[in-house]
Amino acid sequence: MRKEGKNFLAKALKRILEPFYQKLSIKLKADLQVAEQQRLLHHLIGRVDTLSIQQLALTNQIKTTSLIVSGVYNSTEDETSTFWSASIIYDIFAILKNQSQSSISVFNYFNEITQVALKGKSIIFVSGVDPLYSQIAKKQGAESIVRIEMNPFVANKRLTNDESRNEKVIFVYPTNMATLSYPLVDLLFVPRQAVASFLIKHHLFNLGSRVKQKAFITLAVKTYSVFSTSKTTPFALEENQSLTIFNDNYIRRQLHKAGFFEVKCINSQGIGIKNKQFDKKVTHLSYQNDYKVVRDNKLKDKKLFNDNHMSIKTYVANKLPELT
Amino acid sequence: MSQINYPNSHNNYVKPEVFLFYGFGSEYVLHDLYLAMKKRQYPCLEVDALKETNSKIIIDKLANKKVIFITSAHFLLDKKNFSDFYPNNNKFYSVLEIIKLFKPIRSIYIPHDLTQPLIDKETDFLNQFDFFLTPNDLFTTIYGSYCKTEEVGWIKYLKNDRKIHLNNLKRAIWLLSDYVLHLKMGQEASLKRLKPVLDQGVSIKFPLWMGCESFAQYFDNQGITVYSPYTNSIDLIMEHQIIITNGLSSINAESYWLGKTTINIMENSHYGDKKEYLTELLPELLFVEKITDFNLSKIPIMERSVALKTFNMDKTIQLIAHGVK
Repeated sequence: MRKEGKNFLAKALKRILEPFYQKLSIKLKADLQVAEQQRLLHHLIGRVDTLSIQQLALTNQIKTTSLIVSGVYNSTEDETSTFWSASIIYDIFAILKNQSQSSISVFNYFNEITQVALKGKSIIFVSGVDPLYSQIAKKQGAESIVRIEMNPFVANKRLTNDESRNEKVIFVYPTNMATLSYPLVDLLFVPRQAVASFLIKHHLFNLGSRVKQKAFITLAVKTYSVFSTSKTTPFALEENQSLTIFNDNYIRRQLHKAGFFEVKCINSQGIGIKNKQFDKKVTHLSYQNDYKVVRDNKLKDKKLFNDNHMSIKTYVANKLPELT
Repeated sequence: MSQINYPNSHNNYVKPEVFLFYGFGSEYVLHDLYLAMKKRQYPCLEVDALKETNSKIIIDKLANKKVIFITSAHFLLDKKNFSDFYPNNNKFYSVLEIIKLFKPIRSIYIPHDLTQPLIDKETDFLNQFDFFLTPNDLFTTIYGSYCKTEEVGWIKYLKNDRKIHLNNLKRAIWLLSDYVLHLKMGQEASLKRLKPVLDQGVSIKFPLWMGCESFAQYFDNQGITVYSPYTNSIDLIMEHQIIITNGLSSINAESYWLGKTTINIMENSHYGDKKEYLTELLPELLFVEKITDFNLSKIPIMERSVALKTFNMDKTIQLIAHGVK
């Protein structure tokens, strides 16, 4: 009797569990196949990414070669690191792209940002600026205007000497900036960030010695760097935003090396910035350490700005110290 | 004084109220020029920021006046920059601060250093001057793109009709520079260091700087032939056959271009990155690595023509006062 009971239980379990077991094993096998397929797919995607990167690098090499052959780019820098070369090429591409600016932003540049008196002054604008800059400068009484244009591929009839605006245009390949001589002027304006990014890495070439009063330059800056003195990571490429973002201290060092005694930030715009003149840092040229900080910023709550915060800042570099 | 027109940099005629001559210690080389202009009745004021403990008070009084500014000082030496090299308690303005303060009718730069008329970083600020009065054609050309340059000769080399007869005995003098190093080590240590050269019958002159008179007196007391720090270096060069220098001193070029045998002792000297510049500027300049390597008996007396031009006082005054030759 007991033996018959055991056989019945075994048959019942087999009848219930076997299909369940079969279904489970089929599902497990299918899952394994899916996992294997997914693994293979990921491998393929990774391979495609690698190929894309290699293709991009190859494309950049071709573009670089084109630039070199055309005479636009000729690397003479001692800093031959891949990053440095890449950043310079990036700047040149951005300069050649020549993105337009809104008329309102051009208007605000003189009236709100730089707020400098132009009457009787001689001026240089560097590269790709909207004609409205010259019109406003002329209207405000500028005595003479020179535009340095670094876009050799532009066959634009606008880019000619304009006697009605007392404006002269000088064409130059970007990396030949140091080989030309420029007139002595009172003021220098570099409102385009792409142009400023290129110029600041080269200490403005020899433009500093041609400026008698002030230079205005606009750049994207890591906001936290205005509260420190560290010059590490002088700049970084933010490809998503098509920007080079700088360390504030690096900018100051470069402007002092370019031949300006005093550097201040006169306007900052960005997320978390309520007061456009919040940056009070003033630096003076020093014989010993490139520059010295004569007035520093004091941040009450350092958590306000983290590594991701960026601001668009306009600096004024003065030839002479502003006496207090 | 007869009616004189004083054009400013914009060619407008503005009569100056003061001609301000400005500099620091041994780097102030404008005294003879100041005296010459004062003699011609120009309203002149001389300020040596190292002599005056607070020259700011003197300068501040000129704030509303029409000033023609003449300087031989380094442009960027404000209180902080200066004190990094030469600790002192004086209060003074830098050249750039004075230009900002006055907006002078005319600004003129006359260099105090013939080897390096402008040091690093100064070239970019040359455009703040209306004139750079240079000692020779070389510097007139090199710096001509930064501001107006005019050759007027070397300011320390005034016309001198004295004929100096030098016999065959080797008269050698060390016109010492990098003096701050000796100031810091003290008189006793300084003498010990320089003795191997001085014991060979070499005279010495210290630059006109803080503590120099005391140093001169100490060395004199030890039996060394010491010339007063106030002596004109050109006169001393003319009176000796062999001139010893160190570092990047102006004496290198002064002595060399006066045709003298010039030896630069390298030990404890500061050249920065300018050693190559020095050898390019003065190809036959002799170098001795260590003080103990110097042997006067083995130094040849070289004969070279005089390339240094005497200072043209009349032309300089004309340029300062009238902005034209």
